[in-house]
Order: sequence, then C-alpha cells, then structure tokens
Amino acid sequence: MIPEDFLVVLQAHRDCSKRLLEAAAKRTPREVELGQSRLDQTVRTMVREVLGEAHRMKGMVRLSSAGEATLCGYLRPRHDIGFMVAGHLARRFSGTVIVLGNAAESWACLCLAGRLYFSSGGPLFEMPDVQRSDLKDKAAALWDAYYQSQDTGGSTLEAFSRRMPATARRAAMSRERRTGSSLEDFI
Amino acid sequence: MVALEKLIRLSQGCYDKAGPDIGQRPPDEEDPWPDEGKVRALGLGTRHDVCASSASPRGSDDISAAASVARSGICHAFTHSGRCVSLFKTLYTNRCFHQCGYCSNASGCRERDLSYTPQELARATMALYQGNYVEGLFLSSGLGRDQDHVMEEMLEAVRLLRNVYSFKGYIHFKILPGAARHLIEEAMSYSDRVSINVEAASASLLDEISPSKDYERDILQRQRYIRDLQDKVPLPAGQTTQYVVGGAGEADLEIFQSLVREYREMGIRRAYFSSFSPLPNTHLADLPSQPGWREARLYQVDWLYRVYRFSVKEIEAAFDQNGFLRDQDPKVAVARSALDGPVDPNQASYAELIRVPGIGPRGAKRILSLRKSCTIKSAAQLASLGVRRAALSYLKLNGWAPTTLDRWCR
Repeated sequence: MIPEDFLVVLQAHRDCSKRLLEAAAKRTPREVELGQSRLDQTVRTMVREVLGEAHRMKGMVRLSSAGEATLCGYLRPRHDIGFMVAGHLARRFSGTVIVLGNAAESWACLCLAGRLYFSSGGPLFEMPDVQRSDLKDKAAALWDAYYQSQDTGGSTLEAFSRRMPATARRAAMSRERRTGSSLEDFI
Repeated sequence: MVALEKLIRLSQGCYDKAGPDIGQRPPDEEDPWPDEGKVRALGLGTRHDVCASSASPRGSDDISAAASVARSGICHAFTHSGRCVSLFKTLYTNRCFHQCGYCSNASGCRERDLSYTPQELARATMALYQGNYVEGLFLSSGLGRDQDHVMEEMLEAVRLLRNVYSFKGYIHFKILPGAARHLIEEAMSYSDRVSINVEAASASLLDEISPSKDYERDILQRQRYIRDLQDKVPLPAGQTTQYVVGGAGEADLEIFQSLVREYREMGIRRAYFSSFSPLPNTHLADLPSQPGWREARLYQVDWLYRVYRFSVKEIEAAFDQNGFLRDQDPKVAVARSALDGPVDPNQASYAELIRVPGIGPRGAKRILSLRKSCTIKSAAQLASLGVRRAALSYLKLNGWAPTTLDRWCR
C-alpha cells in the first residue's frame, strides 16, 4: 500500500530528484497505487524500495547499551532511512536515546512523553559520553545460541537469501569485513 | 531537529525524565544470566512450536514502558530452514512426564533436565529485546513434576518482566495441559496471546500420539476456560492452537473439520501446523516423516477459510476422496469447482474476483478501484495491480476468454 505521506518516503530514496518529487507531489496516494503511467510506476517502485529497506532494518539493526540511557546500533542503509528506523526504535524504548550510524553519518532519536526529538550528525565517534558495555557481547552470544536452536534442518538457501538478502545483512552488520573496523571502534 | 547533547540531557532527566517508575528498574549486571547451553537446549525444545506472529492490537501509551507493541510484526531473522525468528521462543523447563511421540521433551529423548529460574528468563528476554534481536517472548514448557507448579514459575517470570522491568512488549504464553483455571486467568492478564495445543483432530487420534493426555479434560476444557475468561480478562491477540500433522495417520480433512470446530466453538484467532518428524526413543520412532508441503497446504486451506472467508463446502472440494490435500494450491481446486466460466474483471464482484487463483484480497480491491476510472483491457494492467499471471486462465479480457483446457494445463 502506498502511504499517505509517500512524498516523505520518496524523498528518502537515493535516486530521488527534485524534479521527480515535484511531479509526484501532484499525484495522490491512490493514483500512485493504481496508476499505469510511467511516473506512477516509478514512484510506486521507489516508495516500495524505501519502505522495504526500512522494514528490514527495523528488524536487523542490533542495539547495544552505550551509557545510562543510550542504545547504539550500526546502520549503513542504501536509502536515507536512518530517521525512520531510529524513530521506530525510539518509540519502542521511550526515554532512551537511540543512535544509529556508521563511519560517515549518524541519526539519533529520543521519544519523550509521546514526542519524538531527532538529531543527525557525522560519524558515530562524535557522540559524547558513550561507554561500551560488555552486555552487547553477552546478548550476542545468547542470540547466537538461541538462533541456532531454532533451525529445524533442511536448508532452503534460495528462500533464506530472498528473506535475508546479503545487502541488507551487510547494512545492519556492525563489523565491516572490508576494513576490519567495528561499531565499537567508532564509539 | 535538536542537538545531540540536548537529546542526551533530556534522557538523563535534566527535563522531564521518563524512566521506570518507583519499584521498577531496568535489568542490571547483578541479575542472573543464563548460560548459552541452557538457552540452546531449551530453545531446541520449541523449534517445532510455530509462531512468528508478534502483532498485538494493544497499544501502549505508558511513557515509562521499556518496550511497546505499538509497532510490531517485524521478522528479525529467518533460519536456513525457512522459519521466521521474531520471538524469544523457549521452554521454561524441558522436564515432562508425558510421553508424547512427537515431542523432543519426552523422557527418552532429552539428554538432561534443564530449567530457567524466573530471574534468568526475565533477564535473557530483556537482553534480547533491548538488543533488538526479538519482538517479544513465546514461553512454553514441559510439565515438570506438576503442571501447576511449573505454571506458577512461568508466571513469576512474566510477572518480573511486566512489573519489575516494566516490559510492555509482546508475550505469547503457552497454557500447560491440565493447568488450573486461576493460573490460566493470571497468565491471560500478563499476555497478549495464550494458546494450548490440541495436537490432534480428535480424542482417539490424540490417544495414538500422546497416550497420557486427556483430550477433553486437559485440552478442550482449558480452551473453554480461556474462551470464557476473555469476557473478564481482555486478551488482545486472542487464543491460538497448533496441530501435529501426520503423526496419527489422520487425513487432512479431519484436521480441517477439527479446525473449523476450533474457530466456531473455541473462538481461536488462528491455528498453526507442524509436520510430524519421528524422534528416536519414542513410540512413533518408526513412522515416516511427513513432507513439509502438507503443512504448507494446510496453511493455505486455513487462509481460505479464515481470511478469504470461503465456505466449508467450497473448501472441501480441495480434498481428494480419501480426505487428503494434493501438493497443489487448494485455491485452484476450489476455483475449478466454484467458477462456472471466465470472470470479467470489469464486471465481477469482489466475491467472484477473490475466487480466481492469482488474485488476493488486495488485488481484488485494486481492480475494483481501478475500474471506476478506466476499463481493464490488458494483462499488463492487471500485472501492475499485483495480479499473478496464473489468474489470466480464469479471466475474460477484451472479450477473449481462455479455454477450459488452459485452466487445467496451469
């Protein structure tokens, strides 16, 4: 379904141009949902790509405690969805600052009394007062043990790759294989 | 947009700090932590318990909550076998006195008896939730020495989560067979969803796979308790149940008929199915494993009944003479018997459209919307609405209709 605020979603697409946004602003969500024109099809595809990535990242981002009321996670999305994911997690952990980011940019969000406060900035290492906790390692070990226990055997790799695409896993993975650096190095 | 420093100050209480209330606290380092071997072993005991749902209509406006179900229903991970892992699905203890032929907790199957303490379980759940590994808790258990004693310990764990850690996330609580009514009531007060597995389609079939359980007293009566208590204790995500498929040699039609009774009499929200696979040292160890597609086809049949709202009589066309489903989409079999001729997408009602294989509720609604503004003339138009190619064999477009043979060839 195309959401009512689809322009906000469209704007987050990495290939969205000002011209496309202006053209899309003249369309209603229903027209985009059902339209047969090239513009409608393009907008529909782009909106679905952004929503799809945001949906995956909401589940795949791993958080670790960093300071008294801060949860921190690695996120390197293809589209500009940092705020969507941070906002989702901030609502879940009311009163806790959620900071997501990577070596280049970061997004922070806090939910207090039902209101969302956003902030964005540079690399994660600029965040003040963040201390590393070994709780993350414990939770990760716990998760690994639990995740392995849930496998009923019989691999369906094609379905696995479709549901957990490698690009999405990389985007939410704290350890970057290419550089050997990790989220903790930035904090 | 505010400065990051301000966010930190806000959260640390310089302004209107919203944290756990007095008497509530976040988990800390001193709380007991379960070892990974226990987590793995007790997780293994639930790997055939199917439940990926974590959506609950209960909203949470509590600003001091450590979690929320306001936005839920996300799959966090999938195993290589295709199962979605969105909940921390675990047993409280794997000790059990029943000798169920399908269960890895039967006494001959388990290597050693393990159990969480309420504190360990609450701590592990919070850690996994705060790390965004899971959407909530799915708590089941073996029966230990006494089901009521184990239920009390399970309740202590969820009580800790709700009252001490201020956990407002999703909780699915498995009611143990034969549990006392007051314990069921308390479990419902802490949970989004409760369930008790019927396992088999009838008492005689249950007797074959689980001789020590009483179908009427241990299971159906507990389901009635849950149904009746819902007037008093709201249960946002309702009650569900689960079947073992193929363990007692039952036909799919028997399972479907039992399923319909469960929907009508017990008011269950939905059902899950788990294909039987034999376990060594059980009385069913020599039976063959059931194919995974059988489970998948039963889900499709359930979907036709529950979501598409097809009648029982219509759906029964999908079963063969012996009451088994074939390894093909049951909606195709229903369409062959229900549709007299090709369906015109420009004229058909919602009920007719939804009976076409390849058109789901969303596709049917989109067709109804689109045809208000233009005529549907091409397959490309339908494809852009999310209609599958398989539907074309059942549709009449531009006056052209496929032959009956086209349908049968699909």
